[in-house]
Amino acid sequence: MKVSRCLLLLVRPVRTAVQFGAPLPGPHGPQQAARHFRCSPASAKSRPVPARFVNQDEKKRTTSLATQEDLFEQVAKEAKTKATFNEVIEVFTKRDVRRRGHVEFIYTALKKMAEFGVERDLSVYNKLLDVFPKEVFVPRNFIQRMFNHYPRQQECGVQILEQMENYGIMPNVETKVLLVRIFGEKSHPMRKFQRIMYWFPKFKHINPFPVPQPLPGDPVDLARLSLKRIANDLDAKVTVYQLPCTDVTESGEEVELPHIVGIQSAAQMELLAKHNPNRPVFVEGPLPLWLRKTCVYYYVLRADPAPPEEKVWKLSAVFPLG
Amino acid sequence: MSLQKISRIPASSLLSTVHDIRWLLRSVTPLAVPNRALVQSEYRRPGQPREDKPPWQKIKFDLSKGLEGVKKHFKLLRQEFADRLVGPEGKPIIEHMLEQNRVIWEFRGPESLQNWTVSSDREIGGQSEIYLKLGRNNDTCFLYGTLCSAPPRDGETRYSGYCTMRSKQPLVSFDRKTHHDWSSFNTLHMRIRGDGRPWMVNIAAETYFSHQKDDIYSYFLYTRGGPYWQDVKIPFSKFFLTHRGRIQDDQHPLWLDKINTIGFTLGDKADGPFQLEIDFIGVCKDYAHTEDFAYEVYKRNPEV
Repeated sequence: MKVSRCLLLLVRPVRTAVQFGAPLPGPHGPQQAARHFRCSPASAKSRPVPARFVNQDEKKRTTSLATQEDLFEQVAKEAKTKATFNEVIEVFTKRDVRRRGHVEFIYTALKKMAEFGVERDLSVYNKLLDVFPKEVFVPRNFIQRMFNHYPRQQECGVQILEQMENYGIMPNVETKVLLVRIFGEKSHPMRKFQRIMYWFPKFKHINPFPVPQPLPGDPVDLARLSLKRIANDLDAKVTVYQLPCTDVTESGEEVELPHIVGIQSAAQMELLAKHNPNRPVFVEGPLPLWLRKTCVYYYVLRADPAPPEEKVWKLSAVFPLG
Repeated sequence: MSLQKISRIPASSLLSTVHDIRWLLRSVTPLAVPNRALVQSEYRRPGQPREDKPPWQKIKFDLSKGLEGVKKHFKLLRQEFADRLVGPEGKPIIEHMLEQNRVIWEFRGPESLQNWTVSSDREIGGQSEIYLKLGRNNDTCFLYGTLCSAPPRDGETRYSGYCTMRSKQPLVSFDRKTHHDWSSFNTLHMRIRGDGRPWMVNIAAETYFSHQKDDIYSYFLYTRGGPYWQDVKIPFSKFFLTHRGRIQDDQHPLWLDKINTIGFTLGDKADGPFQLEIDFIGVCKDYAHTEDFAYEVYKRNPEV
């Protein structure tokens, strides 16, 4: 724990001076006595706040109900990016050292993550975990350890980790350090973290047909990848018959022609060579193929199996088909 | 058995015996508040009121349980006695000992679909659909539908979007439950044709305590997609224990002597249509696979 405290000393010298009640001079000179962090912040208004959040103070003076979503909605009017999301979290953390209403804020932030596009970003989850006040929820005696100390905050911590688990994000050592500082070593969020760290590496590489991350953006490349996947033959050759282009028809309209990519293996070429031209071939499709969250459609050229009287039995070695 | 006695009474006089049954049950008081802590009864959809019907109101006197049912069950009972004379599970003992592959479910006709139940999150108010039919040439089973992961708006449910197919519990004569005995095998072998989606194979074994009712052993089933068939072999040592969908801390290998059902679940949060075609499901004995269990069994998490 000394490591994390040293880190904090480097990053936020003001906060730690206040925490330990050390006789270090505060930012406003040696006249101000050192305060314990549990007291109300005397200099909240003197801290710089971004201009767009200034009217929050005026809102508090009115008697209307202000929800935690208002902060996000204000920011959402401009741009929904990681930077604005981080800004909202920073505004909340700097507003009050006791972090009043942090549980509702964290639940709201978890819901809004998908809108801002940061649901797969580990640094944002760590920043959100940072919202919890440190060392307040760590049980200090056996009675507190027995009785599920601060159950709502523990449930909130578990929900953050559960959203990370749902999106398949692996936590890192910073998450562990934060969890230990906030909840202690034998808490529910820490247990959930241990379970994630145990099971995720076991199941990371069990897919025998892994889909590359990220998927190729070009539709022709995507078609090539999916055809190679379903061909079941490493020697099969991909041919691009047509690239996506725009064509001008007779009436002068512009028609967008899609791409046509095909794959054929040596065994299929042989079958086609042996096929009797009197019998029909069928084009079947569109059949779906899912690659994680995208669905591509493919067509199959096939024919009915030849009836027994037309089969030609050759005297050659018969290889068992796998 | 009381069920046999009722079936021997002709249908017309069944109703006259109702008051006798009530007299017998008078000593049993119906539960005012069901004791939910110990016994978990059938699934209650979130938001629906709890039904507290006294047990005597739940009995249905169906005339369809007529003479045909009696004939069918007695025939099954006769078959069972004949099977015992041949050997274990109706096969000669030498065949049972040397068996290496056994096909358990083969979809070769419409009656094979009677052994399976499909369900989706429509039961909890979601919008997924799932249908089961026979595939082309009546040779395979075709499971298809649409997945929709929008959670139902009942204030309780947070995640949704699942579709599942589960086999029915095997029954012997007179609807008695029996189990699959796969103790001489160690691998699950399936021939499937998916569309690239990851499925989950769930095996439910027979349990003793009521808390273990939703204990299921699961493993992932990754499909390649495409027109070619895919042979999937999953050793039973890879199945991990889950309870109500949550993986458990204390893991132990699946016991193969009393298997109840097998099922396939799709819940990969990708909204859209899906399809899975199954040719057969069987078990095989792989002599090269010597692993007992793939996960650690010792106590991993330190005591709190």
